[in-house]
Amino acid sequence: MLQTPILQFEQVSKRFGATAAVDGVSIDIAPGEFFALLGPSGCGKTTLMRMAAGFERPDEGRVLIDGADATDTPPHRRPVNMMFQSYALFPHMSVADNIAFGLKAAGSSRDAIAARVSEMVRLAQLQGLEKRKPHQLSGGQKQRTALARALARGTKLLLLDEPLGALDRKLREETQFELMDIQKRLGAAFVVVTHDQDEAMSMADRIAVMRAGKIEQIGAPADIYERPRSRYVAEFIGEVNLFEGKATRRGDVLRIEAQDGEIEAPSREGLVDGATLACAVRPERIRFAAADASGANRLAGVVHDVAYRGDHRVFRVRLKSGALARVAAPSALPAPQPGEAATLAFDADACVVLDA
Amino acid sequence: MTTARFPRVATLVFGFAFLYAPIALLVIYSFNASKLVTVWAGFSTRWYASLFSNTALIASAKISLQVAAISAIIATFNGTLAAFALERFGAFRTRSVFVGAIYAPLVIPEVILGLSLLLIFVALGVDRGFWTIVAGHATFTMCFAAVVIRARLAGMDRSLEEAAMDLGAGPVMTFARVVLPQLAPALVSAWMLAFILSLDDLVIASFTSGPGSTTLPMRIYSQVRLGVTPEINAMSSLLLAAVGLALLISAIASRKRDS
Repeated sequence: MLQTPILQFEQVSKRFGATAAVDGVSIDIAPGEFFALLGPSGCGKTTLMRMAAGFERPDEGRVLIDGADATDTPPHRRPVNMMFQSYALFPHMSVADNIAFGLKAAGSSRDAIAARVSEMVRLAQLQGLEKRKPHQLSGGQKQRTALARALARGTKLLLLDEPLGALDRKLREETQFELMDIQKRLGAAFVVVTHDQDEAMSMADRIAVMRAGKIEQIGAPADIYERPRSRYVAEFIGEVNLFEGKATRRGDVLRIEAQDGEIEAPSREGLVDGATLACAVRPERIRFAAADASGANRLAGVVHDVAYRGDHRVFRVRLKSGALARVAAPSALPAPQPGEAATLAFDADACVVLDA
Repeated sequence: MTTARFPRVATLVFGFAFLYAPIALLVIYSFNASKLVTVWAGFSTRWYASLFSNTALIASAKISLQVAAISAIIATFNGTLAAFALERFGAFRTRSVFVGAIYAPLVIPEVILGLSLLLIFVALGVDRGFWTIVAGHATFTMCFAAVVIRARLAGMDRSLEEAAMDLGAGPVMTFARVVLPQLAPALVSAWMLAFILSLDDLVIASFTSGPGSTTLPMRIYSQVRLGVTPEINAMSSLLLAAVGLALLISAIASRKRDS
């Protein structure tokens, strides 16, 4: 028997006027899970989160929290807390009063509140800032105050709306690890809304990639990266090269007649012979081969430019069709210079076959 | 542009002189020793002293202040309710009608407002006096209060209320602990504005007052018809000072709100 999910969306839909912000979404989120809702702005991820918090009521479907139907439960009666994108710190209250707000609302005793607030202050490393007002805090301090306030009530489910969106790059990475650390220590389920794929990939146990109100794919980060189920997911997560062409099936092997050369990819069930398919290859799965190498998965081109990224370099190679392919190669390996001819090679199993 | 300097300064001086010279004159002559308003006979504060022994004038001032304070409280309360309805109830069907109805009294001639108030008090058989003035003032100053409070409400971050609810605060606690403190400076401004408007209203008070409830502007106006006395100047100067102080407090409150 599986654990009861801490949060469930059951065929949830929400319309704003003529557009469906969320369209028949079902997700189960396990207790203690770090879950990311990933997608571009306007894909419905925030609406979905607001339905979990109780700020939006789904037009159809149900929202269950810890197994209980919460669809019609008002926000203040839900065992859920949310960290807002703007932080929404109460400007007229000190850091300590902000953190204490939820505890006061719950009617905790004065001593219990004081103890819990100082515990949260320590957890969020806000020592010495307790008496400050929000406008006297830096961006990072505001973020940590908002987090401490959302965690203070100790709910088993925390919703975080673009938690790192307002931070600068360096702080963002640091805070990513802090969030993961805090989540592990508390054992609460975190649901993060983000448009930043790196953020989702590095923090989450599972990611739901959303597009136009629907779920495109749910899975572990590696799953989504290595085995995207659609072109949209492949292109949204990381860099990808796509080679399109007519496909023919030869036993276990699928041959795709792409403009830039013949590509061999592993076949799978349900592929129609003669259909136009796309083969997706990640840049780091492509290498430079000797010029005289022939056969499938060998594509000739000319190096267009190179971007140095420290540990690796990203090459853009102009292929026969005129398309630019991306190749990521470790900096230590020998590689052609811009303007030189190059032959790209990759293994059949580096290909993910997708509908074109 | 040094060539444009002179006309610019002249315009400025003339503009301010146009606005404030009569008022300055009134204040200066309130310190005149002479009983003749137009003849300067040296500095004196005797009219301020005699003012405080003019019981009728003092009584009227008291009535005016009471009317202003009470009607401003009512106006602020009602204005808050109206502002919430307009700002927070979404785009309900009669919203634009309601917006128009709230803002119309800002431009309706006071005489018409006063007359209609008089008619309704007569129709209802209400004895006119202190409370009818309060009601009349609360009616028209409420619109100004609603404008001020609505502007503040529109600028308020909705996510603060959501955050409060999310943290387990019900509607009452959310309002008392989060919305009200945010709104407080606007409430002070609205009250001040309503207070000042009530304090210097003559027209509506004239229509809605009854025996024994003569407000200060009414008293001044009726005395001036018999001739301007320096006492009136002194009273007016004090009134100016009171209004100026109220404006100052209102300005400080709104500056605090913006920071």
